[in-house]
Amino acid sequence: MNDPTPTDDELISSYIDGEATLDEVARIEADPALRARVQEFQTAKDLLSAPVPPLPGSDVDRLIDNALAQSAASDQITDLAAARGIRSLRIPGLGGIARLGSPQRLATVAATLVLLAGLVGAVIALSSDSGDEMFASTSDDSAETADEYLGDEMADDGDDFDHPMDAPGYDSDAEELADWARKAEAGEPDSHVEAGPVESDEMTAEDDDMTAADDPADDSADDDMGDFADSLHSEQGVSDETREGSAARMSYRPLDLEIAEHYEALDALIDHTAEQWRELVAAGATAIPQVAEEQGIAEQALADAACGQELRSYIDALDHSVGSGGISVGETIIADSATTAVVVELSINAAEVLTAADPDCEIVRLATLIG
Amino acid sequence: MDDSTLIQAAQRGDRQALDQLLRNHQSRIHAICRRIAGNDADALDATQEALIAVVKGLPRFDGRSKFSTWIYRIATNACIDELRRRQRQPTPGLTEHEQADPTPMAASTPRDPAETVTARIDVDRGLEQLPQEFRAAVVLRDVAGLNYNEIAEVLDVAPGTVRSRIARGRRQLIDVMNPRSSRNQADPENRQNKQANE
Repeated sequence: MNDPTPTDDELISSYIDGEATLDEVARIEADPALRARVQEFQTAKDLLSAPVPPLPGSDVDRLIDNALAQSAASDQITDLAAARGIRSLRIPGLGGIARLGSPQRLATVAATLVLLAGLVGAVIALSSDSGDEMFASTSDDSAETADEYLGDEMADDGDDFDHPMDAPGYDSDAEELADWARKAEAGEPDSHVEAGPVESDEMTAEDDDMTAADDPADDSADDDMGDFADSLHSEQGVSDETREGSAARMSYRPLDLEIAEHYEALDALIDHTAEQWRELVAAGATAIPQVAEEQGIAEQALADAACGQELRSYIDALDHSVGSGGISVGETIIADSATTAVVVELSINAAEVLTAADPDCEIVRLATLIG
Repeated sequence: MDDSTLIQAAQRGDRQALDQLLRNHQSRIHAICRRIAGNDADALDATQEALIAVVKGLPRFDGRSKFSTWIYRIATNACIDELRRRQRQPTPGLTEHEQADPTPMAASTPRDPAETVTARIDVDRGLEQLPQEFRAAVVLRDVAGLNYNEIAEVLDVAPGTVRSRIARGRRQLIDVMNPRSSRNQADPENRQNKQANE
């Protein structure tokens, strides 16, 4: 009896898999040596075919939840690349956040923040010749401030308030904005530069019930609100004038925050966004209002959007215009709710990211970006 | 709800449909990953990567191939990637004693629990020593139950190559698990493979 050859092994293997031809089947069944070898192969096949013990249900749930959550975050970021140049952008609904666990919510919020930061970036104008003069104050110091705001504002996520002026974070931010503006004009270094890094844990404060009394900035908040409003209006006035005079010289083009499709950790995503923003600002970038046509589109989109009326009222109360066309409404992943996100231009070089979701239309301030 | 309905709904953004689709296929994906990875921890990581890859790739699934074929291709690639990552890290190999005296494979399918555990360890040990391309082919056949043409599509090779890989994989598996096999003693090709693996 001869040893089986590799060709014989293929024959046998195909035979037990039911993939052999009729001629091959006949050959095997006529050869005792091959038939004996069939038993060995069949045993190996049986061992391999033995069922793998199933995963515990909790593991299955975790695996699937992770896949869905990471996918959602990634899709948002991926969509940004696909949607560059598109004024009205669909994003998966933030309404689903409430149904996710805290880390998932955090990741989704962060991803959305990046998406929206990208939208801000998409309507930033990089000054070609007048930028150095116009935006001399957008120095590295203010860039650091932007970094801090990115984290601080996210920490405010979830604060409940009925009116813009009632928002505890708003008072604090107003003071910081005004302070930042004063220091920038005076050429003073910003105190935020010395602040420690924002821990990602701080951004999980969606359930906190921070009151005005908890916020040390509130002591002077009322006084500062007037200054802040003046500051904003003043800046807006300057921006209008400057815009008229310099529009022809400005070189408008979309800027890219270079958001990747995937990040290993939330911190990396935040760091990347902040760094990109800082570099853009250092290069002279600044947020500007949309040109009229685009702004009209943004306004119309807002009017048609879920919670658009609530957001419009909020924005009207702020007395600022909707900027950047960053309106997104969803056909959502969670089909039972829809969220509108809007980027509001606060001043010539500051933007705020707001979201509101059906059915409550609670307005959430995701971030303030200072350019 | 069948797969095609779930796929269409999931591609439209229906999260529940996507969830259900993953649940329908997770056990098979995990089984593939478990056999390719060779241990529970790596299999879990690989399964996670595979599920993420499925979700990310679903919008691009165009229905030209069977969904099961498509999903197993993604799972296999994810598992192989995980295996490569693992192989880049230092891992304890078999001791000399284990290499010299592997537990022989039972002559037939084991029947009692102790034998089953032994057999499972043997299968893992045997698969671990197969070249990756053989292992994937064997697992796709015997664990996923794909036919040769489907495996060819998953691995992007010719059906004849699949046939050859499965046969050689099984033969090496038998030889690793049953060193007293007459074929094992006589086959110079097998000795070469063993030396290469060592």
